Amino acid sequence: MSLRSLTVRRGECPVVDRATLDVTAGEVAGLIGPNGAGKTTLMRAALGLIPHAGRSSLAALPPLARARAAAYLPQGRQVAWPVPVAALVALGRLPWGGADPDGAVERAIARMGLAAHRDRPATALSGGELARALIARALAQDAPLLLADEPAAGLDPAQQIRTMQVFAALAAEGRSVLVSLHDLGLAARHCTRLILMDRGRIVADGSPAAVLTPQRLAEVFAIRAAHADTPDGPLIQPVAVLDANDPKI
Amino acid sequence: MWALRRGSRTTLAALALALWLAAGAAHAAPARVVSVNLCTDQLAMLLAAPGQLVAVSHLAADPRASAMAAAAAGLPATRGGAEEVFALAPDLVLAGTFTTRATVDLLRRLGVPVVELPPATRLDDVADHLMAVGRALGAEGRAAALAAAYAADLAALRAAAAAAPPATAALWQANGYTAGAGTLADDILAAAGLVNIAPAAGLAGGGFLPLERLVAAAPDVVVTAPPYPGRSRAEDLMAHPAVRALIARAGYAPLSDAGWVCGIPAVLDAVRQMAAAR
Amino acid sequence: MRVLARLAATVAALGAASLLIGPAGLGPGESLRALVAGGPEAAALILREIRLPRTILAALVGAALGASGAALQGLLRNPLAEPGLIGVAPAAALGAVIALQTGLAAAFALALPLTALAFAGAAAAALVVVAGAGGTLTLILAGVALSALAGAMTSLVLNLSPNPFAAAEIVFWMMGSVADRSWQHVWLALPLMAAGAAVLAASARGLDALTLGEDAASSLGVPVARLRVQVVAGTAALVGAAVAVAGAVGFVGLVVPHLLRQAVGASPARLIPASALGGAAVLLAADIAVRLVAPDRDLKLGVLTAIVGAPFFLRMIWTERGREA
Repeated sequence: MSLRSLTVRRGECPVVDRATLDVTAGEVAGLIGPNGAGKTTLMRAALGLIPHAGRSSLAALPPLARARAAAYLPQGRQVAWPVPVAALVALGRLPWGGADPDGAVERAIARMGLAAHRDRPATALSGGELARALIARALAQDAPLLLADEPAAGLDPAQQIRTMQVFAALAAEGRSVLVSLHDLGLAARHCTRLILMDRGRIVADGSPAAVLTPQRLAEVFAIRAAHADTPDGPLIQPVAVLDANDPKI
Repeated sequence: MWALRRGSRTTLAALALALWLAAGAAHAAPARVVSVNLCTDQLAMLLAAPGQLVAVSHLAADPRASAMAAAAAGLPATRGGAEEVFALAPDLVLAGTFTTRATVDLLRRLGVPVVELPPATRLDDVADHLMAVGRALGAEGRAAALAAAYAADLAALRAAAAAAPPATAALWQANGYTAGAGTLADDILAAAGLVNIAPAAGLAGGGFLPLERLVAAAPDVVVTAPPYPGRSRAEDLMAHPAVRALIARAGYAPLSDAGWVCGIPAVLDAVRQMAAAR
Repeated sequence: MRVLARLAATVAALGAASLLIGPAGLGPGESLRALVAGGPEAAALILREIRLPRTILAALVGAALGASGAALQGLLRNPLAEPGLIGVAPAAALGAVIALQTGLAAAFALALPLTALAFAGAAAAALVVVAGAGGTLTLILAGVALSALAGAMTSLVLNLSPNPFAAAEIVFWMMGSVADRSWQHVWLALPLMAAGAAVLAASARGLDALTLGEDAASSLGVPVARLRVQVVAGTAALVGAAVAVAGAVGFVGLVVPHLLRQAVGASPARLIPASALGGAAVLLAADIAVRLVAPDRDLKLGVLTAIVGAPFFLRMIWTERGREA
């Protein structure tokens, strides 16, 4: 995926402002930033779902080719009908005319631990189960790129870690993942790269350690965080909100 | 049963053929006539030869709606559905122009001749309707006689009414429904020497007369229909104190659908009744 | 697929029953012979020209309403959607009422359904423009506005009707019926309904994807704006044709998809053919009931479907009340 000066305006003010970005095979790129930074809008514009200026390699594709190139997991988890989980996941095969020669649906169900729920109506699932079912649906699409908007929201810690591990496994298969996250700890631990957005702009792009500096956390999120290097990798935990008048800024 | 009907149809057809040969008429009169409209029912009962009218509509035997309920009681009745009518093997169907459209179209497609008669809007229509049905039934002679008698009666009634001092009347039915200019009811009042207040209020055709207008117009006669079974809010208006006061002061004449709805010679009874009520 | 087979068998059985019932009092054997043999005999004419078109029309109208209801519920992602919602049915009814009131209906046999179709077409064109330009909410609101407008105009025509006979005819027509319809009505409705059904069939997969919302459906390669236009145009053709030949028959488009949703695994794509068969079965059953229950009262179809349908529907949502949430 390649974005060049991607801009989305709502009225006069740009919601996404000249975003330039490449996501390459084998990486789990975390998209972070405070509420309203433009993460969701960036993903939707990159897919061509909303009008935009600038260039997106995905949006330039015809709909079916785009659907085969990139899977999208929207933030809202609404399922209109009580479709059984297996049928819900199988919707991911629509860009291929419903064909599933490699068993992508079964693989996705197994990967997300949904085997026990496969015949339950999606509307009867718990929030966490539904979130996993929808991730499985996106996985079943078997696209080289996955755009996931807040997939970890509402999941328990174990499911959050498992989800990020699935993304890592996708990257290991040579695919790429662009995932928006609010949990900076999760982002720092599981992403190979972080893209930080603030008020529509990409303000930093690099390794977690390079992006999550105390100064950026203060400027962009208005928080202070504790850092630690552990055998499991770097840890970051927000600990305090900064006041604009705080002398420490 | 079906075979029986078809058998009787052939017999009748043979009979008709014999009659036609005997009379040397220009065309054979229909032998099996079915009427599916209250008004054509009554005209046909007046004009048909014995056995010629095979069935009438179910309304024909309802004394509230039909002036000839007793005569209709002896005839089979239909609800007017195409299958029911077609099964009677008619060679002529009489219908009103507002009989269910689909039924008439379907019967015509099946090759059954249908004569449609519009609702009468003037007393003078009655003679025309008699002649139209008479022609359709091959009973021109009887129709002409009835039409002439009717016209004479009507002329006499009109002459009597012209001699009487003018008076006003209002038709006041459920929900304040009334009949204005260009309706049979209006013409009935006129023939009785009564001036209908509805046209003065600007009503053409059927319509609703506000209670205030009725009271303000203070007609000499209020003509209302006795309520149908089953209470309706629409009919409550007729028991309104203002209406009751008006009726107590002015005359009251009952209106029955039977006498007023159809353009048949019996409408003259309604004219006589109105002339007596003034 | 077993569901579809069972529904098809039900439709076939009800269709056969519908052919055997009528006031002419023909025996089943006699009816069957007359139907197969044909010819100029009265019994053959009754079977082939009166009962057969009526039966076929009942099935067609039911199928059109059922399929439209399923497709619209899928498009709007709402189980309360029904064909009347998009305003095409009320517009068709207005056209028919105007034809009756002006006397145009008496001019030639198909004047009434053709006028109804013209009005349905105008409403559908307006909606397609809206559906193409705006979103789903715009579509619903435009549909509600069109329904209200057409309903008010219909009331106005009735209100101002100077002719009580015409007014009564209008009221009866609006209750819906397939009694005494001929092959002309079938040939008028069938091509439009076939076209509408084809358009809906082409939209089925897209409606499945819409289960996940518009963004997810778009990302699955479904052109959502075009899908909206397709579904509106398809249902408009189906409903417009149905109302033009049979008047307003309510409740089928709402209840039938709801009844069958569970049986087809809630997939909107599979619900469309199932609801078409279900709607056909319901309307055939209702038309049989109209003739059996009160043969001499001339009960109207639309009245019966609502009287039987509404309590049944209430009972169903009562037993289901705990299941969702």
